[in-house]
Amino acid sequence: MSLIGAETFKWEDADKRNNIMYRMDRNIKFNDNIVVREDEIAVFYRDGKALAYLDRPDRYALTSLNAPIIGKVIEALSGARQQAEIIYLQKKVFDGKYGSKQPFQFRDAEFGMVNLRVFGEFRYKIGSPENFVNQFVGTFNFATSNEVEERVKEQMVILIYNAIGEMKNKGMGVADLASQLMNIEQVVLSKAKDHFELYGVLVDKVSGMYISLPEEVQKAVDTRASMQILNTNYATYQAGQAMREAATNTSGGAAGAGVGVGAGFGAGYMMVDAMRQGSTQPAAGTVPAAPAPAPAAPVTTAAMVACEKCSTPNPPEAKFCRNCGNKMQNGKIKCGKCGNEVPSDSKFCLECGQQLKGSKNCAKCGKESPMNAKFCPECGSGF
Amino acid sequence: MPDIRDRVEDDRGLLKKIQLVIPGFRGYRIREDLRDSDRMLRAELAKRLGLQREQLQDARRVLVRENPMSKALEEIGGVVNSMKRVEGEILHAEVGYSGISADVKIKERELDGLYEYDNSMIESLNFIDEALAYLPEMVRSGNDVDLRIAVETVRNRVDGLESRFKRRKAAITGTGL
Repeated sequence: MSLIGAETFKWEDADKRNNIMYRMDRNIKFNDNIVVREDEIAVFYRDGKALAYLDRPDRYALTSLNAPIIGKVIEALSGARQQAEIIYLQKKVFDGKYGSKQPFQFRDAEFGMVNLRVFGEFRYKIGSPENFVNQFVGTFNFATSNEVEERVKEQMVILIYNAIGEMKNKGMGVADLASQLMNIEQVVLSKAKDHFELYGVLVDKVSGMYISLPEEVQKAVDTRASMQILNTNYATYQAGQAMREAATNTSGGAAGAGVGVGAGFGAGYMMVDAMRQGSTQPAAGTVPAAPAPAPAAPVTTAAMVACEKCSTPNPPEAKFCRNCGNKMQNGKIKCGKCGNEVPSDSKFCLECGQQLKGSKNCAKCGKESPMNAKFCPECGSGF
Repeated sequence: MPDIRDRVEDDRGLLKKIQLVIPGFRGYRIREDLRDSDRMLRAELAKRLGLQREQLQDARRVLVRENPMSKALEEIGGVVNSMKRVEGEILHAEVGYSGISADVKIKERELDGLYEYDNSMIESLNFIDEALAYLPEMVRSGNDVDLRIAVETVRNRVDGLESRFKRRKAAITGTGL
């Protein structure tokens, strides 16, 4: 301390950190010096009046009536003691986070009503020390950036919702959000001035904005994308998905019984028919879907039986095909030896053991014939 | 508007008059009185801007009654906030001070100049008044497009006042571009 009681002061780095302001605990004396650095503004108050906003980096020698002799005389005579103080403000940019507490409803042309949430970061600083000091320091007595951020971030969310709403009215959809994030930022920044600068806060940037879609909408978007790539419609796509799921389902059941057999007679043809019917409906895009290829493994139950002649699926009790009139085998064949009806995929007769699959040669002419043939198709000899 | 400096000078009390004859105190007293005059002038300017803001808020009230879905409401809200911002800047602006050994001294001449400069803000306020005069008619007409244009005009004039006011210190110290 000097002979006249004056000292030099600065805002210590240890006190700075996330403090946006610092009120120096001293009644400024005559010739007290303060150091204002590049990232600081010092507000000099004297007798309650903001005498100066010192924002140029420099050392300032301040004046007040708090001098060794004069101050004492004035105080002794009149009881008046001049109050002079310094408040430091940080000029640097602070980071803040925002996030919506509740989703908001967005009416989309494609997806209908969608719930959206917004998250992200923004950067702010003191724009107008006159307003900042009188709003946050004077009115709320805030000292840290967190306290300022708490006041500001709710308004930020509202501004973003407002920006999205305005852009939606101009044709932006949910699917366009990602490509419009930079524009949304600019709209928010243009509106931020009206909402924050009256408190002396300047929002510098809105960064890392993330607008989340609900899970079910995201899933629908992914499904739609898959359908468009495959150039198919929803029914066909779902049938394919069900096929895949049933193929991996080893728990059995009627569906599982026909699955994985591979050569399941008739079951696979039913899928082809379903796809053929599905291909008559418009696909996910504007182009109708092409008929899907027959699946490798049949997926449906064995209830329907395919006609041997035209492959049209028929109910199991049908005696004649509903398409071509062919007599239905109903998935059964007759044993050539005993006449017993056995399932069509049997290799041997259940009654007499006669081989059903494969072929046999005529003893007389050597002509090859099916196993269930009774007479040689060449010479007519009986087997 | 009457010159507040004359009023402050005329109303000096005994203690202040004594300070005028004490060496070293005379300059301090004169400068403090000039600063007080400027502060009172700015308080009046801010008050007048506040009254203009209330006019705008009245127009907003009528518009809410007539057409609460109007897009002009958001813009009026923005201009109201702008006016609050400028009011704060005018009211809490610095009074003109330079410490010991300052690079640029602010003495009585500069403080007088500051007062004159702040006094000239009245022209900008009159300009805003002219724009506000059209608003009630625009609100009644129901024409949203014209109303938004009228509100935009008010905004531009408030921005003009702010931009002019911010140059005050540079204007009196001769350090502006």
